[in-house]
Amino acid sequence: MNLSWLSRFRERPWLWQSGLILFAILLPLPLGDYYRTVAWRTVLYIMLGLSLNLIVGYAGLFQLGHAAFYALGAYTAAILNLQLGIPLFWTFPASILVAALFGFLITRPILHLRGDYLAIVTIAFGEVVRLALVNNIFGITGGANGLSGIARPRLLGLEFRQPIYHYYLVLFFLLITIFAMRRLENSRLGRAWLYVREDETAAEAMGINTTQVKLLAFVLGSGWAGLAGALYAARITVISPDLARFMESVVMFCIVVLGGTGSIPGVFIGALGMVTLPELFRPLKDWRDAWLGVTMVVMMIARPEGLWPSRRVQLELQESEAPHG
Amino acid sequence: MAERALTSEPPLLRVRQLTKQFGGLMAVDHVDFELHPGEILGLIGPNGAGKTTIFNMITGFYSPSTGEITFKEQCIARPAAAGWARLRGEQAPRPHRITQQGIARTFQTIRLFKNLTALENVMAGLHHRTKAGVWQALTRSASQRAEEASIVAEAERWLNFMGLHAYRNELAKNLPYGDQRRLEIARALATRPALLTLDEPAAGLNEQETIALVALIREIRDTGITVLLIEHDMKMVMELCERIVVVDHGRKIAEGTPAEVQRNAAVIEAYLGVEEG
Repeated sequence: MNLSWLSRFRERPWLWQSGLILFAILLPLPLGDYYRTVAWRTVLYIMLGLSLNLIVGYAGLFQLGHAAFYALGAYTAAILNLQLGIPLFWTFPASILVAALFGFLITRPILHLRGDYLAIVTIAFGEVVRLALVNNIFGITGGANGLSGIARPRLLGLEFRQPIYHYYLVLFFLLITIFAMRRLENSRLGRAWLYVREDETAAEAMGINTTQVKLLAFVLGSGWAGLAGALYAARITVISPDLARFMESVVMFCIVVLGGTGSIPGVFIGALGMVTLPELFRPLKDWRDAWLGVTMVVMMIARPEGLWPSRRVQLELQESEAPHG
Repeated sequence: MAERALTSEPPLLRVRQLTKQFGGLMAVDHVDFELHPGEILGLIGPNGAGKTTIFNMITGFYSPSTGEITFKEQCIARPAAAGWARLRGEQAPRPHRITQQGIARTFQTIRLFKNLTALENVMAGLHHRTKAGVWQALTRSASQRAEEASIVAEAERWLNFMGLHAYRNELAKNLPYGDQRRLEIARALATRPALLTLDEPAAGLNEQETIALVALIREIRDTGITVLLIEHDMKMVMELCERIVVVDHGRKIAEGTPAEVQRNAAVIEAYLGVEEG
């Protein structure tokens, strides 16, 4: 009986999907501003996780400097707003483009690197971006203090001041993100990423330009992170080079890997674990990093595929553990 | 063989003075041969003779130290450029370019996408002949849906052709060994090659499976595809190939029909030397 109830949900995915969306829409209503901000942060990090999932999960490339693109998006929005007075919403496309462009320029020369080597270069790039921002590059990033006084976004005469508006704003973009990710997953391009992740040599032999396909994952993922950065700037109005901290990149990476590489629900769970829980247990803040460390060690031993892995990644991991004949 | 060589039709593939050096080792040493449209050519030789190295140069995985390979009268492999020439982009074509030009390959050790279904594996071969990008994926336009449908339909045709349709939704790694080899060929055929290169396709197959494979390769050739085959199974090579090139220690030691090659003293010595030593 229980089973038939479950299978009914599986047959009609729109049922639980619309239920989930309804929940997300109603969620902030009974909450105070503090918890609305926690909800906003969670949704923002889900978006960041999904953007990184494109690179780490779909294409199977280690990116440990993702926060750099998040910061680039935030700074682009802020600088355009502060220097040229462009309304914040109009800066979003520029944020996406700038982050995507840097994604292209940085990763093009290093794409032939594999696994750990790629991870090292991406860490280095993240630090380069952070230090460039700290050193007030071109005199427009405001140095270590960052930038403040970003004008709040307005839409149809409505000023986005309260946290709840920003919650709905990121939720709106998250829904678009999920929609886009699912379409990409089930497309010719999504399959190409699968082929590359499974066996790059064989993919190349099938006539797939693996460099181009990997580059596309990086560019799209970076651009998406840029959008998340612009959304952050819109809500906080004060940004600093801390956005590009290595720890930020690590949090994003953990969201993807702990939740379940390559899986959209996994990213949700990862963000809940990495962002929401620590916020809710603020009093235990000092223990946060210790708790994180323990969780990670336990996870890697007990469930390396993540909490809610994609079926395929699960298969791949089992594969690599089995002895080779 | 003689009548083919005399026709005015240019060779499909021409390997000229092909050499590959790994440090001090001459893996391939000034090898020449030609492949004519519609023939089945066998490349044989004892273990470590340089067959697979030649193969990897033809398919773009290695670039030659010296020498040249032309396919359809276009150069597809020349020594890798160094220094400024490399920065200017004068690099040897990468494997995907060679596949796009019409040479498909299989691997000596099967390299299927193990965790994907048989159908998805064959669909990989259709990637380079289709073109939907990010935008089409996001909008799921009518042309994108039509293209997806045609990819599936054609992949199914190749599965049918290879007699693998029952495994359509089975993960590649769960297929029996012999069928994995066939699936790899189906995947290569889906790229619509003019030249199909097979790296020891009969390795690990039993006698019956080998017989079926011989019939299949003939069938493939009859659809107009030229076949280059590396093989250890002598019986199969002698039966299947119209012409054979024999290499040993990186050098070509003989070339001719199976009967000619079997009589060749150098070939006998190379093989007997290996078997007794």
